[in-house]
Amino acid sequence: MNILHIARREIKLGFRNPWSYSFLALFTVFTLLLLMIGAQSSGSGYTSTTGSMLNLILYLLPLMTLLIGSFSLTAEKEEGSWQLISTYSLRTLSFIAGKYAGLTVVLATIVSFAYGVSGVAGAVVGSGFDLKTLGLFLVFSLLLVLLYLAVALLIGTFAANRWQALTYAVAFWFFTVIGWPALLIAVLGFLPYLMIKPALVALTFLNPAELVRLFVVVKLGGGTILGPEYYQWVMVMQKSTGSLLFAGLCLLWIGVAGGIAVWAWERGRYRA
Amino acid sequence: MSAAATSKGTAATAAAGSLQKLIDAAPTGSTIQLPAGSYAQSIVISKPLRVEAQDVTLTGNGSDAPVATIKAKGASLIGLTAEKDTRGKAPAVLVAADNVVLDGLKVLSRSLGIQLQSSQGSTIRGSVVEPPADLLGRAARASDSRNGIDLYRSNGNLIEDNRVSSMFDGIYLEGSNNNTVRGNQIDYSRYGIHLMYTKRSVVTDNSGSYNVTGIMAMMVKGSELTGNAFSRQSGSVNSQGMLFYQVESTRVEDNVMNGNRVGMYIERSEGNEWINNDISYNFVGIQLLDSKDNRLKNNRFVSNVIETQADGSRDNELQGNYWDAFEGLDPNGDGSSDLAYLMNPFFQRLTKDNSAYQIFFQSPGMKFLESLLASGQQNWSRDSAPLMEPPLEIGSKSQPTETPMAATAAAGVALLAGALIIIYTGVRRK
Repeated sequence: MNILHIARREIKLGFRNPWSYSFLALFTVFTLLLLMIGAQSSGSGYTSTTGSMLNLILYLLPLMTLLIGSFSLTAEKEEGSWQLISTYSLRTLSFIAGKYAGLTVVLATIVSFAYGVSGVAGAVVGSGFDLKTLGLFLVFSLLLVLLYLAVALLIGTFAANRWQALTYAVAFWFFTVIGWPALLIAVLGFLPYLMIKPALVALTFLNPAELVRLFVVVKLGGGTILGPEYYQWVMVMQKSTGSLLFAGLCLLWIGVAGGIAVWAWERGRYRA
Repeated sequence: MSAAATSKGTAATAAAGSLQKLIDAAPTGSTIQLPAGSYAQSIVISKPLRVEAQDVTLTGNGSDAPVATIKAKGASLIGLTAEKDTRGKAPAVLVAADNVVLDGLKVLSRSLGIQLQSSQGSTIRGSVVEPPADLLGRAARASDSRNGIDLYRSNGNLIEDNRVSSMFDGIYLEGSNNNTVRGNQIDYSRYGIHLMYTKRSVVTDNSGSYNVTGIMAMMVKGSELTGNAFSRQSGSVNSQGMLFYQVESTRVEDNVMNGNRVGMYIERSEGNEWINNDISYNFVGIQLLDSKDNRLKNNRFVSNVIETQADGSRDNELQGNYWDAFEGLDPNGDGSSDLAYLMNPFFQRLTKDNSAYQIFFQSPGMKFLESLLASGQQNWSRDSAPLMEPPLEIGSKSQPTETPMAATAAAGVALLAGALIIIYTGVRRK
């Protein structure tokens, strides 16, 4: 048994899971809504339309990813299939990586289906996204999926069952998406003035939602709104090397989160 | 009376100062036509002449001195190409007399383009000011300080239908009153039109893009800024469509500011009117700070990422503007909402205290936080009767977007097909 078996099994399980289809329906309806909002005003680049669409995606997709991802791992524990799998000669790394790969395919499929529908629907109605915007939303969504899925595996590892996973997932979603500025403004207020910016930058690297949002805003040409404080960052990110840099950052992020998950899962495997 | 020059001169053959001799020899009040060619010379016009210089290129003598200087009241210079390839403080063309006419000049300068020093009643029309080709397409640095058309203590002049590119300030007015700046086009400069300590200026029908700021008005009184259009000024962290600082008694009407970092930035300004402006597709629509007794009416704010950042500006007459993100309520059907449009100052205050927080711009959590911190609304700036529908008569210059749909449809079909194939093969029992 190896990583490919696990990934394939995960895809099969994923598409037999009614949850996946309800999320598929939800996200499709959701992107159609985005399409309708987008059709109300024209203009390319970083406008209120693209800005609010990014925010709407940020509300829904990370939560979806966290739930599907973490439940997939806790289900293995709760339903006893992990006990069975662990009797095979399978490395924990292969198990987690296979899970990650399989779930990525499932979620990417859901996202692609939804954008596919809205792409076609927009073209049929005659007022849809242009290709560049559609592409950028797709990339934005896939990046969110990749990063939040790594966190989801971490949550699934540490949670004993679905209920715990649900609690952790919602908490993580809330603090990274909704409560983030409130949390940071409150906490950073205790720091000396000069330390606020470095702390803010460091913490932003820990928040996948902000990281991906800022990257896409810069790529949309909106980087200058972040002001002189972030001029250097924006200049670097605007170039094509910025995309490579960001890809590297994402890989690092996934590697660290996934690595912790493997480590913790490994401990649990041989302790049990 | 006309004194036509007969000698054929070129840069290679012309004796040094040959053009100056022609000018000096011409009788006062006459029209003189300079012989076509390129000359490494500079000229000084010190009597009222009409100097026609089509197909004449002057490149100066290599020192930091004007290529053409006009010292005589009522002189005119037509069609000259003036190239000043030296850096420094001297302009390529210097006007130091009244009632001078410059028409159809082409100025290529590494320092200032055209400068008016204490000139009254002069006209600069149909001219082009640019730096040499290697500097095109980017704004000059502050250390270069090369303005395109520079008015210093010059009153009652007309600057009309000129084109300025890639200079420091496109058109710069300092301590100069009663000037008219009309129909000019400025791009890739720092400020398109920069008014500094000026009164009663008329700035109308100018346009521009890719400047740091379109119109910069500081310490300006009693002026009119109408029908200007400045777009796509979002490339700098200090970009604006128009910036007003300590501006008083000025009317700003029918301007279009699209796709800028900030559409209109207004600070410490009193007693002005902003009417019928179209402010759309900017990152921030309007920033209104510490200003009072202004009137903002019938402006159109569409698809700005954040419509307003206002603070300390409660005492303005804000009425009947259209804010596309605002859901109004109009029970009596008079076209304006009975609910006021409130401007939450939270983000403005937060970023003013520490600009590092600007990273939360349009963050989903920021909107959440703003909705929580909504106390003290009685002190917020507000539009007391926002329009329900956008005013029709303005916004004709809005961005046209005709997107080709075939590519999107194809991409959509490809995505859909890919997804379905994965689902099908994924669930298939082998």
